[in-house]
Amino acid sequence: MSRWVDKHLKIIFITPCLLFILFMVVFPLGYNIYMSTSKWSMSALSSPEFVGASNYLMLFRSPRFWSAVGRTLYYAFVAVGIQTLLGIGIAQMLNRSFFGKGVAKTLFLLPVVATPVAVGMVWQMIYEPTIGLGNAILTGMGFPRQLFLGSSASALNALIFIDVWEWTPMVMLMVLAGMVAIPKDPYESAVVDGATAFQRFRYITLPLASPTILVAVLLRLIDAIKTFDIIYATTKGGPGFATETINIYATLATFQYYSFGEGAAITMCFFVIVMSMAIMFNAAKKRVEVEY
Amino acid sequence: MKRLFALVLSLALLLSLAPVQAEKPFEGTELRVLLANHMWSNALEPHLKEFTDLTGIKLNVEMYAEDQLSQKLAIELAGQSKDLDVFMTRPLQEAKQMIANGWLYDVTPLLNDPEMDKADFFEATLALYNNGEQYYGIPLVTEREILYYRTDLFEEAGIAVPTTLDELWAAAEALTDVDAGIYGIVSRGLTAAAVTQFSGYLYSMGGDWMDAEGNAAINSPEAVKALKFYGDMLREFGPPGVTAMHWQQCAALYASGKAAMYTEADAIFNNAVNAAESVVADKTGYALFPGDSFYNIPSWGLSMGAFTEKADAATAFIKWAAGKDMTATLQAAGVPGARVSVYGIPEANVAFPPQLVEVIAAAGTKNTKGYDRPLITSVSKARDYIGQAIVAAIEGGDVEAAAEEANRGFQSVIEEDRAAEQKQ
Repeated sequence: MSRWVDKHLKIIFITPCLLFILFMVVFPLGYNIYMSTSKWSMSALSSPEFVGASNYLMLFRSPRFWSAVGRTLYYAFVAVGIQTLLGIGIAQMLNRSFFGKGVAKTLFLLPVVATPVAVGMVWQMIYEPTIGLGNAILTGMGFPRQLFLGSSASALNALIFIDVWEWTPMVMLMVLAGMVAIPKDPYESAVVDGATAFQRFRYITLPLASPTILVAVLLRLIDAIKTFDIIYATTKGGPGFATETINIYATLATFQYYSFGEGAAITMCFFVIVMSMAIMFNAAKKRVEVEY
Repeated sequence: MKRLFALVLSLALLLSLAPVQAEKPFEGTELRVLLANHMWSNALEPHLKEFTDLTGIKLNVEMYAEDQLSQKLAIELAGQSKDLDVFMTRPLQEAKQMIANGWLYDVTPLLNDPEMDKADFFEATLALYNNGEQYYGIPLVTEREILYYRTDLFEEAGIAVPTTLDELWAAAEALTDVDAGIYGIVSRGLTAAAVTQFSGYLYSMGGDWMDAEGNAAINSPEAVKALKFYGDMLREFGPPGVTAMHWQQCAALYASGKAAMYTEADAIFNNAVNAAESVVADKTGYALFPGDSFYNIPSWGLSMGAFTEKADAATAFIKWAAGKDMTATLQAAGVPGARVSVYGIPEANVAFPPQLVEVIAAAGTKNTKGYDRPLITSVSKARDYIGQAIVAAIEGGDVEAAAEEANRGFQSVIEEDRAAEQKQ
């Protein structure tokens, strides 16, 4: 027995992992592909009917789908772009010792640990155009009133603002970890050579922290593309289709319109987008890995 | 003697057991009941214990907002869940698809139970649960679009309560006082949610969702006129951000005294007027929708899951909850029921402001329609398209173009439905 175990140790150790992947990744994915080629209203009376690629063709011809794709990418790139800039800035500020640093770091982290749906509901109240806190602050500072989520022109940007508020600390934390890991000697020699603070940041901190920054950006990007909770808790895709991202569209198609095939096809397209992001992530990670 | 005593005792025990068993045939049964967060559910909740006392059935009630409920039901019914016993459905929204999907339990036998008195239900309400042969739900609540208005503001301004859409416009214009934080009118603006309350404006302008052939007609001249009217009115005299407002937000705004008028279903009057935080409870008047035509519909009913294993207990629950007595009790708490007889019982109508009772009664004599949204299977998708045009109209965009686009989307939904029906 023990000899058998010794001989097959490799297989025994990876079996749980393989089973997990099989049941939690391969099966759902395969089933989703199958569903995306069928037409089914989830009926208990009739089974899914094979329709080939027609769900996909319908999507590719639909302006609603392409707008949703555009919105998803806009949301992710703009939100993560702002988060990265802010995150690096704040990390730089926190990357030195000062009184109350621990408290400041903890406070910065609070949005990250909040539940997204609760965050969405709170922001919905802040954004209330008539009685909300947002307009009270804006008008108090002399700015004009905003409609925030109540206008198709501003709703998506208002959502991006929530995302930035919630996730900037995450980027900050990861970048800070990268900065802390940079050895002291390059800075010391730079100071001796008369480099200014900006030059030290530009030519030492940024290049040496770039692998961590890139990892943070790509992780956030994948996460931001997947955003669902905040949007669902606030606008559900409205006003009009103004904040309808791919995920929201897929949810509506599946559970409001009862068209399983359409929903599955949308998620397959979404899968392709996220997957290409992940491949990019791996490629980029290999390229920027540096030795100190 | 001892033996006799024992005999008497055991007989007594037996006798005391027997009636209990007869009275509580379902002792120990648990029913899972999914309700929408609605006036009807809120009114029923305090009575649930009575049902348990009566039958021994333990009720596990879950309550969700309507969209969440609809989604939860879809997930569980698609999975053919066996422990989904009773739930609320909207005959005009998801019921048709649910019936087509075989998700609902046939309640025809219950309806034919003499105690249920089938003839007592408004006929139109029952028809929506019928697929030609069987019935798949029991109507609970009826709704009409009405006008809520602030009596104090109307008196102050010295204007009459509007009876036409032109008068409504004039009143909204006159009563808007942005500096004082008062908006002339509020009504739903959130995409799909706005569709049902827009219907009164559409019907009154002579439009309808579909033409006589059943094709999309949301781009007709009448519909465009109605869209423009609704959009312009809400943009100019409505609260900012109205395109994000469902009835919950509208009702809250009206309850906080920030709107002079409100067109909405009468069934939510408790939320808008009688809510604990409402400041307008004693300053609200009720009037018929100020147009030629509006909806008078069953908004909610009770259905059973097709895969339930406790059909008998579930039937008993519906029989109790949708029975004459409970309908009267709930109507007395302010829920407009779906039974004709209840409107004739004075005690059942105490919760309604007298003016509202008059309005509900008067609505029956008007040119009403039995639907507040298109009568098709894929209502939800159609509403999303029609809602686009409403949002565009409120935001002041090109209404003709938006109506054209909405019509194309709506027509494609109708055609998908036709194709699906032909296959069946």
